[in-house]
Amino acid sequence: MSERADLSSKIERAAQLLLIQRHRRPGVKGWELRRSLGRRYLDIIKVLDEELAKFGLKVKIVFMEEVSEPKAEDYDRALFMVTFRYPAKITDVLTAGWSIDELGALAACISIINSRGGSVRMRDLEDLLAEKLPRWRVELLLERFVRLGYLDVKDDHLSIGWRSKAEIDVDLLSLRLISYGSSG
Amino acid sequence: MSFKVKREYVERIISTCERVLRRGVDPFTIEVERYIKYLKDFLSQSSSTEDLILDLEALEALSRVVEFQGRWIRDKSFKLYFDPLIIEAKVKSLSLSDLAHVLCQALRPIASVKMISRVGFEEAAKYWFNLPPLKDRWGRLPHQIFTIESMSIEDLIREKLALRGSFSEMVEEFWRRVKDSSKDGKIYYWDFIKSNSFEESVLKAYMLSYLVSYGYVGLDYDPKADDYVIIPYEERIQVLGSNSIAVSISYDEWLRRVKDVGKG
Repeated sequence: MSERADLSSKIERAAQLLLIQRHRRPGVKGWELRRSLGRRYLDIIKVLDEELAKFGLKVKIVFMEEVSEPKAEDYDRALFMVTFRYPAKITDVLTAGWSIDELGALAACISIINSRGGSVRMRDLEDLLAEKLPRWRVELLLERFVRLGYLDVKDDHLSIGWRSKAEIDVDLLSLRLISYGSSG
Repeated sequence: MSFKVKREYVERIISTCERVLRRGVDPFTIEVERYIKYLKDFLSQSSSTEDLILDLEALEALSRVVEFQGRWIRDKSFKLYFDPLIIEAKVKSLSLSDLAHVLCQALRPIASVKMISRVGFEEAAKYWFNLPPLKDRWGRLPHQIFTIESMSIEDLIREKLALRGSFSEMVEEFWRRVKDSSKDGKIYYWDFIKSNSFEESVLKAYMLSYLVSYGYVGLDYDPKADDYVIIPYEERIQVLGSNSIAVSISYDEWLRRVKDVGKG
């Protein structure tokens, strides 16, 4: 097989691995990609990312812990997945089964957690959401966010989950929130 | 200090810088100025190519730390805009709809395709092959005549196809009823759900299960009465853990309980 054909087949394989959900949660670990695509899997992912750009998609890498200069082992442990390249239209998100209330509550949770250093007492967040939603619904929503991976819960504290890291530009969210309504 | 020890110290400088860069921790914990002075001294004493390379690597690592320090300050100063109080005030002042619109400006959903598993496919194939032909299945049921009629919301409520008000209002209203009922003293589960109709009892049990699950009321088992005492809370409490209490309310059980109560 020529080098070009080999690369092309590896890009196809990478696209299949990333797009077709095999486990309960979407995405593939770096080490799985390395096993399937070889040592230079990051180069293949880079080419795939350029290809996906044509369809408004991108390869998103979620690191398990905050790293400023990721190394090979960080990539191996990271979660690779395909996301929209640009923000979604609200109509598309609503069509996908979300309600406005749920999206609003998620925005509140993520921005509050982000502003308080990444972790918030569950009770505090419940109190805040209960100003706009009935208590029983707040509880259900938080459970749902945790189940879907948008939030993590540990020792009665909520933090930002893997799915939020993949789907939401948290700093942009906070910035948009602060500037919302101020531009007229 | 021997030159070998000095070399080890330079190696330690490199590994410390690498660790800080990789973990993204506070880069100002590294004393860059002191390390550079040390490297200068090391360079003046070194003679081999290996030592020069080591010195260069350490200098390069330190320069990356300095670069990271700049970025770190930028990030931290940027974070100042996300003052928790300002964010909280904004969250409180905006409607859920506004918050949803803000979220969508920063939301890039995951794109994935779900496929049937091999086991699922085998099950589906088995079902398909065992499915009798259509001609064997048709004709067994009488033909139904469908007509379209309109119903008022009152009719839907009467037929129990729609609720009057929202479910949350029902839960709140029910919580009030439980609190009112317990004002006269201890109230037992079966006494509370006892009603003239089985349907009404099931509805009460259903609503009560909601209140228990979400911390509005508690249940305490009374072995003497072989029944649960309902304890309504003044305010909702945090439910920790996941203890389940299964209370069966079959029609026979309901008859027996209602008759017992009737006798008393």
